[in-house]
Order: sequence, then structure tokens, then C-alpha cells
Amino acid sequence: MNAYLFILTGLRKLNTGLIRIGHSIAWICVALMVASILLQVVFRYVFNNALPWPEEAARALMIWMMALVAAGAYRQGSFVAIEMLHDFIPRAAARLLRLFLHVCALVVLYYLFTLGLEYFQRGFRTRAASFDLPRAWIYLAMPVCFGTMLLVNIEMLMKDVGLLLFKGFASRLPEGEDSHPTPVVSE
Amino acid sequence: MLILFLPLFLILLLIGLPVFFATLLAPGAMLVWEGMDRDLPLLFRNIYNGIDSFPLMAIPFFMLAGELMNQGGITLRLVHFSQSFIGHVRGGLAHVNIMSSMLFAGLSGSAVADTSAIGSMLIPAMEKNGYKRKFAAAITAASSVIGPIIPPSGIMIIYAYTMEISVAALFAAGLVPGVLMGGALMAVTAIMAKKYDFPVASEKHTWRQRAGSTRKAILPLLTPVIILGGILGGIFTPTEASAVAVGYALVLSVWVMRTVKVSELPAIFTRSAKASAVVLLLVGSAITFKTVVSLSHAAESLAFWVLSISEVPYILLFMINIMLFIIGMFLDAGPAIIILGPILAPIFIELGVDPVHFAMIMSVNLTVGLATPPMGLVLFVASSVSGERVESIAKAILPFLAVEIAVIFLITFVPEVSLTVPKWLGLVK
Amino acid sequence: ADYNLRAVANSNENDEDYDGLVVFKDFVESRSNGRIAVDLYIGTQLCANGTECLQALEDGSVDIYISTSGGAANMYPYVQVLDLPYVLRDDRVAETVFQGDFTREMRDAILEDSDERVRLMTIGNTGGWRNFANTEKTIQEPDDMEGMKIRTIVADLPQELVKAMGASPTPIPWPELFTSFQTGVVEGSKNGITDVMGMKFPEAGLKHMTLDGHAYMAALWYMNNEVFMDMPEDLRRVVVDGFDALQQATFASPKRKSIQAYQDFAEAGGELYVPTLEEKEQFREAAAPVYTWFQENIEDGEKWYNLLASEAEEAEEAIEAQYEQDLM
Ligand code: NA
Ligand code: NA
Repeated sequence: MNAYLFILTGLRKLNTGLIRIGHSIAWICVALMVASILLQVVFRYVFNNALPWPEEAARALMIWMMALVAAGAYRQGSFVAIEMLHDFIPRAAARLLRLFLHVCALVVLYYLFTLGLEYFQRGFRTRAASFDLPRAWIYLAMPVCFGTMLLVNIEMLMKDVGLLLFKGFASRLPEGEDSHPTPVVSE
Repeated sequence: MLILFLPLFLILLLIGLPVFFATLLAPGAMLVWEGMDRDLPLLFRNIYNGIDSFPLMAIPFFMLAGELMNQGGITLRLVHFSQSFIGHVRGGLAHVNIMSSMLFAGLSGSAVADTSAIGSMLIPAMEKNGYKRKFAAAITAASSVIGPIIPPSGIMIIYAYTMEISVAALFAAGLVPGVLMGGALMAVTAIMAKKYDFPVASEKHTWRQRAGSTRKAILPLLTPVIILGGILGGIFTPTEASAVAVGYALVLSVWVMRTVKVSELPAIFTRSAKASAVVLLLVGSAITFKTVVSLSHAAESLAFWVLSISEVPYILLFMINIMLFIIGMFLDAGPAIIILGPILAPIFIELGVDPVHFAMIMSVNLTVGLATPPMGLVLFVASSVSGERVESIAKAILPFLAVEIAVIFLITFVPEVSLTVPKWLGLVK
Repeated sequence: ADYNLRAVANSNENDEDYDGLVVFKDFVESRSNGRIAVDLYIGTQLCANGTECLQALEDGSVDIYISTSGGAANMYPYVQVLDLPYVLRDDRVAETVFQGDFTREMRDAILEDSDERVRLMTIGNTGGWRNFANTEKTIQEPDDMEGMKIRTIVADLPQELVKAMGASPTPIPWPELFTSFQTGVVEGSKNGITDVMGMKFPEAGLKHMTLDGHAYMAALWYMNNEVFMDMPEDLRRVVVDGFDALQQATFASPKRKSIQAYQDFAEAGGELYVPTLEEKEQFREAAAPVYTWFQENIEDGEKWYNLLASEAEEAEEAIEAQYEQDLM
């Protein structure tokens, strides 16, 4: 159990670090997004001259913004689910169900991650329409997004497995940042 | 049978898989099962492609604008403004809650933002004033669905995006239904206030006091004027308007009212980025889901089935409303619109229902779904803001839901409710 | 069927693309004795724009796809040669060019750039010719466009053209365009008449159209190369003939459709202006920076410009030679 806990703790720290880095870049993406669209409006009215690049640049920034915070949102439990069933079934069954659901997510994320890498590599053949950049650098956001989510998923999965395998695992688990799920989905 | 991905999707959803994963796993698994592996990349592509969109960018922007306004203590000014006008009537704070929601709706495109902003302020105040906490939470949740009906609206941006119609037309169409929804909630509150002898909130304010609270609220209240005036007056596109709203909110909260420090901005930006990321990924996965709906010809089968029941638009609309309401109990409005819109809208447009009218029927219905158990996002947020259990809020909200259903049917059967404003502005023919 | 082909067009069933696909489907299914089946996916059901759909075609999730030159510009920048204004004189010249070796040259280039995945099958038309239309006034010469905000897609070449005319290119998403005319976010656009009427733009005030014919609305039809090459030769022949039939259908369809569209335009209060030869020459001169831009900024731009120009010249000569016989 000690070795297992060691790996899990390491993974936790890694994820926390990655999420922190992601957050500290994401807000800059947001700021640049706002700035470029405002610039577009200003140029059209003040200089009567539409810039060709702000729209596409803002789209690329939006995708990177999303990619950089997705893992954090996932860890917080912001991806909403119907959790009624968990309250109706025995605790052991609920644990198994949780494990199964995390495996489902793992399959999806793994697939999205590998395909994302492939598209990144192929992206060097296409260029952005309004500025000189291979689209690969925009596509890279997707494997980053799903890769970091995958790491968070493995962390949660390991926690589930640990709870099933080891007695007293819960008490030895270090306080995580995922302990208070908060829905932040806004519509 | 590729079409089996639909029941599989429902099962995955009901056993608790997050919507994002269920919308990808169910079609993906069925494609593999059917040996259609070559279509798997299409699933991935469409997540990316679904998100890489200029119209959609208005969602993160309106979210950020709402977040800035809320941080900026602007909600407080809206509440004081409402209170100075209607705080003195019986059930004063309940009315204030609804009115503030309507005002906040003009700044924000989101029901969840509305619930947390108004709820965190008014639920404790209402409790202190003598209301039951579950009632305060329920009325907050019920009135916050006005958020995405009165423009700006994230849900309508999503609808316009998937169905390729004008955001401006939808925004214009939402004005009257939104105000109507607020009015109906106030009416039922007035009845309840008399029956249960609700408390008044304060003395009647003098016109001088009202002028004071108006002066404090006037700058934030100008936001919807700038957004809507800008879009409908042809100064900018909806996405540009959303960026302008962010700019205005920044100037207001950081420099004019000085309610937000520059050092707080990164945290605010990050928070709104997170909330947007979840929505964007949901939109992407729903676009993917829609692709498989096409591949499986589910739309055609469903259209055939629907039209075999009846070809009278009003009978079908009645049924669709019930169906949407049930779906709204389990699925968030955004994904529901992307998945069902392309299936349902063409049927009704073919039958002569105006596309903008149908958009309103669908959006308002699914928006109300945000406040229905068991999967009502707004209920969850109201619960976490108030500390009251979701179940007891769900019970207390029933009378309000009944009124909202009545408004849904009014919107359904009287197209003029939605279409008068956009027609008058020439956005709908 | 032995071969199920999935064909995608992002337009709708009123579009020329659909006419072409219907002809293709019927031709290929019948001539192959049912060994080939074609499923049509019209609209954005599987993928929504040129870049997305061409990538899906590379992946093999789409077998046949049609894009405009703007739609393929991100992937194969040189296809924008087709957007160069005033190079192709009229339908007859354009049709001769696209039935000739120009299309084969472009096929080779695209095959090479896509790792042998994307095969250009034919070039047809999707809506006649692009013309300048606006909500403000009659445009007789380029000077009349000074300062006007003209909607373009997000692509360099059309934006360069608008700039060259002294106007201001403004990217607006297609679904917002109606409202944008109405409210004055933009004052003009460059579209074919069937698209203008399909979106009922005159009702939003777009009432002045100048038939400058600055660009042939070329439609590039692609097929997944692997799927094509995996077919036995006799079926490949059927497919190639099918695309030929499709090309003819899309050449004809806009001519037929535009009659009604122009009538509707006039009925909606639209005003048509046909520039004189002299004015047309002014447009051509004003557009000169676009040629320079294309040759300087697009890889092999000079080669493609020269190829198109020389093919056009050859076609003009051939047509002249035919006049000599036909007019006498
Ligand atoms: Na709103
Ligand atoms: Na719900």
C-alpha cells in the first residue's frame, strides 16, 4: 500500500502542478481574446479598416484557454452527471460503479488524447487562414486538454482502486483538491 | 443497429457518467460494434470543430462580463435598486428577488450565475426577514431561469450556432417571454404573499431615495442597452458585443466603481475560463453526437414517427413541449438543444412554424428544465448557496414551476409573444 | 453494393451542388449496376466547413466532398488562383479551362500536398459568378466603393480584392449577414445571385448589384484517393464519367437557377447595373494589386497564375477559332 500511495501522491502533485501552470496561462489567453476582438471593433470604426486576423486569433486563444483549464474543472467535479443512482445502491456497489464510470471516461480520454496527437502531427500541413502559423500549434491544444484530463482521470481511478483494495486507505489519503465537487457549469 | 447508441447513451447517463463522456462513449462504442471504425475520427474532429467557432465565443465573454459585474458588487446595487421600488409591498423581498433576477438577466447569459449572484445575497436576507429558507432558495432558482431568456443568453447563442439562424433575432425574441416569465412569477408571489402573509421588507422609499438607488445602479443597467443597442443598431455582431460587454464591465468595476482590484482579475478570468471550458467541451461533444444522429438516420426515423402521430402543428407542439420538459429534467439545455434541435426544428419549420418561434419554444422549455429535479443545475447551485437540501428546494419550487409551464404554453400557442419584437425590428419576416 | 460512397456538400438541397450530386448518384449507381451506392449528406451533418471536411476526407470518414476555393484555401493555398478576379472572361472560357489540363495539374498538386489522400475529381460551378452588391448606391466603377464595408469570408484573397477596390473587408459569419445588412454593420458583399436570393438579402436592403463578375464560383470536387484507387478500373471509369456528368450539371444548373433569381431580385426592388467595357477595365486595373499579392504571398503563386492565364488565353483563342466557323 505504501508504494501505491507513493505513486498516487506523486501523480497528485504532478496534476496540481500542471493545473496551476494551466491556470496561470489561461487567464492571459482570455485577456488576449478580449483585447483582439475589441481591437477588431476599434479598427473597423476608428480607422475604417478591418483587420483580418483578430477573429481567427481569438478562436485559437479560446481553444487554448479551454485546454488549459479543462483538467482543473474536471478535478473539481464540474463535469455534471446524474448521481441519483449512487444514493440508492449499497456502498460497495456504489464504489464499483464509480470505478466503472472512471474506466469509461478513461477509454474516451485515452482515445481522444492519442487521436489529438496524430492530428497535431498532421497539422503542420495546414496553415491558419489569416496569419502565418501552422495549424498544428492550434491543434496541439486538444492533446494537451485531453492528456491533462487523462492524468486527472488516472488519479481518480487510482483512488477508487485503492479504496477497494486496501483497508484504511481513505484515512491515509492526503487531503486532495477534489474533495469538494462544485458545479461551475453555467447556462 | 447504430441507432442503439441512443438507448446506450441514456443508460450511461442514468448510471452517472458525466454528459460529456456519455455523448462520446455511446456513439463511439456503437460505431466500433458496427465495424464502422473509419467514422471514429469524425467524433474527435467534431469536438474540435464544434468549439472552433466565432459565434460561440460570445459564451465565454458573456460569462466573464457577468462574473466581473457580480464581483464588482454590482448585484448589490441592482438589489437595492429593486428594493427601493418594490421592497415595501407584501412579500417585498420575494418580489425583489424576481426583479433583480430580471435585471441581472440583462447583464448575464447564464441562469447559474444568476442563482449564485442573487442567491448568495438574497437568500440570507430573506431568511432574516422571516421567509423559510427553502422558499427563498426556490424562488431564487425559479426566477434565475429568466437569465438565459432575457438577452444576452448562452443558450440562444448555442441554438443560433447549431441551427444557423441569427443570434440577434433570438435575442430580440427573448425580451417579451423573459419579462412575461418574471411578471408571472411576481403574480404568483403576490397571491402567495396574501395567503401566507409574507413580510414586507422595508418602509416605502421616497422618490428621492429611489433616485439615489437608481443613480447607483444606472451604469450597470446600461449594459443591456449597450449590448442590445449595439447588436440591433448594427454597431457590432453578437460576439463583438459580448467582448464590448467585457470591456464595459472591466472599466466599470475596476476604474469607475472601483469594486474590483486589478490584482483580482487573473482569478476572475480563470474562473470564467473554467466555466466556459466545461460548456465548450459539452458543445463540442454534442456536435459530435449530432454527427452520429445523422449517420444513423435517427432524425429521419424520428421525423417520420412524429408526423405519423399528427400533422397538426399545435397538437405536435403540445406533445413536443411535454417531451422537452421531460428531457430537460435529465439533460442540460445546451446539449439538449444541439442534439435535438436539428432533429425537431426542421419538422416544425416544414409545418409552417417560424424558425425563431420554434427556437423560443425549445430554449425556454429547456431553460426551465434547469430548475427541475433531478438534474437541475440551478437547483444544485441554489442548494449549495443556501445550504438547503436539493429535495426540499425541489418541493418548494413546484408552484413556480407550474406558472412557468403555463408561460411555456403561452409562448408556444401565441407566436406573437416571441415574434412581435424581432418583427418590429425587421429581424424576422 | 460493393462500394458505399459517402458524399458531403455543406450547402442545401436548393444549391447547385445538390443538383450535381443527384446527377452523379444516379449516373454512378445505374452505370455500375448497383455495385456502387452513393449516400448524400447535405448540410453540416458530418462536418461544417472546408478545412473540417477535407480533413474528414483525408481520414476516410467522407469519400466525396465539394468545396469552394475559399473553403480549401487553408489546406491548399494555391487553389485561390480560382478566385483571382477577371482572369476568366465568361462561362465559356471558364468551362473550357476546367474541362482541360488545368484541373489535372491541380489534381497532381493536391495529391502531393495531401500525401496522396485527396484527389481532385473535377471543377464545376456553384452559383454562377460573384458580383459586388450593396445596400447604399449604384456602383459603376471602383471609386464608388471607396470606404464601403464589404463582407468577406476569413481568407486573404477576397480581403485583398476588397481592399484593392478601396473598400474595407469585414468578416461576418454567413448566418449573421442578413442582420448585418439590415443594421448596417456591413454595406455590401460579394456573392452570386442565387446565394443573394436564397438568403433574401434584398429584404435586408441589399438592392444594388453590379455585374462586374469578379470571380467564377468554382466548385472543387474531391474524392478520397485510396477509395478511388481501390476500385477496379471499370468502376473507376464509371466514377470518372459520373464526375463528368456532375460537372456538366453544375455548369448548367446556375444558369437555369439564376433566371428566377434575377426575376426575384428585380421584384424585390433590386437594381442591376451592368458596367460598360470601359468601367470593367477600370475594375480590372484596380484589381492589379491582388495579382501581385497572390504571386508574392502564395507558394508557387506565379506558376499558378501563369497557368490559369495561359489556359484562359488558349481557351479564348479556341473559342475565337470556333466563332470563325460558327458565325459565318
Ligand atoms: Na440574459
Ligand atoms: Na433539469
